Amino acid sequence: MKEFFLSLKVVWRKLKRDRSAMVGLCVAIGLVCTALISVYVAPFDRVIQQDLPKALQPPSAEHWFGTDYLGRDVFLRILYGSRISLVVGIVVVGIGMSIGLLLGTSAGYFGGWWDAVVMRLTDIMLAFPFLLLAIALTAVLGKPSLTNTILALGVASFPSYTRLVRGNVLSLREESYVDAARVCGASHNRIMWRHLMPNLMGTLIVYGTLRISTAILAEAGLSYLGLGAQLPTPTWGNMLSDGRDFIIFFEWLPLFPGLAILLTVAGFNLLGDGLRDALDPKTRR
Amino acid sequence: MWLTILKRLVQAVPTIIGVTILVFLLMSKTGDPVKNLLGPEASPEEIQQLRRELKLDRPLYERYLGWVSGAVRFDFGKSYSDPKQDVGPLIPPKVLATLELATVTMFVATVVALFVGVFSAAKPGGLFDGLSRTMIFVFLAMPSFWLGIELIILFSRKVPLFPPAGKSDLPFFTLEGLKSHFSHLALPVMTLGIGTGAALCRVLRASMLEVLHADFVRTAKAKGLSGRTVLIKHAFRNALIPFVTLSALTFAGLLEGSIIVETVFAWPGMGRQMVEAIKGRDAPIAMAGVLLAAMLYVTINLIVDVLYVVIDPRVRLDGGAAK
Repeated sequence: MKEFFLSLKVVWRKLKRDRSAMVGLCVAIGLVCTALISVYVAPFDRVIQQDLPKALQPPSAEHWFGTDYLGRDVFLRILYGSRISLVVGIVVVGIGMSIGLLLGTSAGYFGGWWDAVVMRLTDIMLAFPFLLLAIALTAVLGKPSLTNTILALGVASFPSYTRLVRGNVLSLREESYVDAARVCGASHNRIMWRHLMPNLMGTLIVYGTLRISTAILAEAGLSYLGLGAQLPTPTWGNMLSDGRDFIIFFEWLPLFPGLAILLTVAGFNLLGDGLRDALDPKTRR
Repeated sequence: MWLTILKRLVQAVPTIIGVTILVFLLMSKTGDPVKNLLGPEASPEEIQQLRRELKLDRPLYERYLGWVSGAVRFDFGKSYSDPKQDVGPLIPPKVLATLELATVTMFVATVVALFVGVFSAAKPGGLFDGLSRTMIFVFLAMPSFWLGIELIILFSRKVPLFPPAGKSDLPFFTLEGLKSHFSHLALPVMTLGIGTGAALCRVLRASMLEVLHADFVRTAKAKGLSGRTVLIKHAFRNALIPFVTLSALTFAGLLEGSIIVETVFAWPGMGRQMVEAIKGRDAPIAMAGVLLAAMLYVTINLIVDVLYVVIDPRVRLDGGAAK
């Protein structure tokens, strides 16, 4: 574990020198701060509050991002949406990573019939386009809701983690420190969780960061299709489909939610790329 | 080589069987269609009767085998939302519409990616390279449904050049029909193609840069060949190998993208049909759509595997056929 924290320090030193990665990190921190602020500034009853006389007003000092067709403040709704996007990004990656880590580590470490079963299941699930699988799982889970979307996206994303982890474990289990642990009488569980896991973390952090943007984008897509969080809960995705008839006539309605998604996804992509470079031994100085 | 290809084909069989099982299991869990069709007022006799008609009273494995044997004959049963409607005849026009959109998008994206990728790699760090890299980065982070809406605002409302939605019904082989088809395709293709082109461009540029540093390129330069000949005849041809394989995978990825883009532009393709079916709990249509998309995905992956074997001798050696 000590080595893991030492390598984190090295990674951080390298990351600090990468300007793009720093921009990405700022965006990620910005999203967290926005989500936290939204708890106080944009409570649920305020973001769904209708004010019809003020409907479809362009951006102004009073309503920074204008109002929608029901007179609701677009800025507040975007703030609230940031909370959902952050939760989706973290929980979806958490679910996918946990299942992937469990299956991938055990499959790679034990091999044999268990490895064959896990890899066939992974192959079958990877035969589906990610969004299509998520849509199918959403249908299985019942009525569309935010919880079901998160579960569907999490489950749909585990095969890629499984494959990644298994590949890494296959090479790690041949390392001499694993043999040494085995000779010392360490159990399989101890070898997997105490020796292999810390060595997998670097790869998983990079991949997980890159997958946060995929999760946010996929959730926005599902919400746009009406298969995600249901109205009146505002998400960046359903803000682009709610009041479809008005959206093309009042430019600010689609502009700000779209920019919010773009900025967040771009930020996490930059951070993920920066982390990948920082953790790559070929580029580590 | 043939042995390796055969091995890959055989390896795909369990995946395909697994895909059919997963599609069936997933879609059979999407809720009881009988209650949806008859409503809460239905008598137990009516419910029993309809369950028998839809063969829902049979065991799961029997239903699966029945569905697979039907699917092989392109018989996907009756729609749940309209029990008189066979699902089979509904599918081909939708698939054709999606393929039309995906093919034109792929063509446009490939041409743009080839042009931008090669010129960008020719002078890395230059103005064109910097500009194209920024654009690629932005386009890759852009949600397609938002881009579609913005393009509709720009090219349909503010400057009314293209229709905002729908697909042309005119016959394709007349001047009027051709014009109408292309004007309807313009915005969906732009929406789907911008992200696709950016992804292809990034790979081609990276691949070109790698090849430009290879020994054989240095040799070609040392022989006194012009920069253009080195770039096009030597570097470009070798950089095409990963590009071609990625293009095939990207084409499969377009099916995923078309789910959203078809909804934005009311394009009557399979993607939109699937979303409607899943929303309406119409399992037979959803099952047919998901199965076809997954099969196409598996087939394209298989073609890419085979392409690798044909193009890259190292894969052939690994397969053991060239020992």
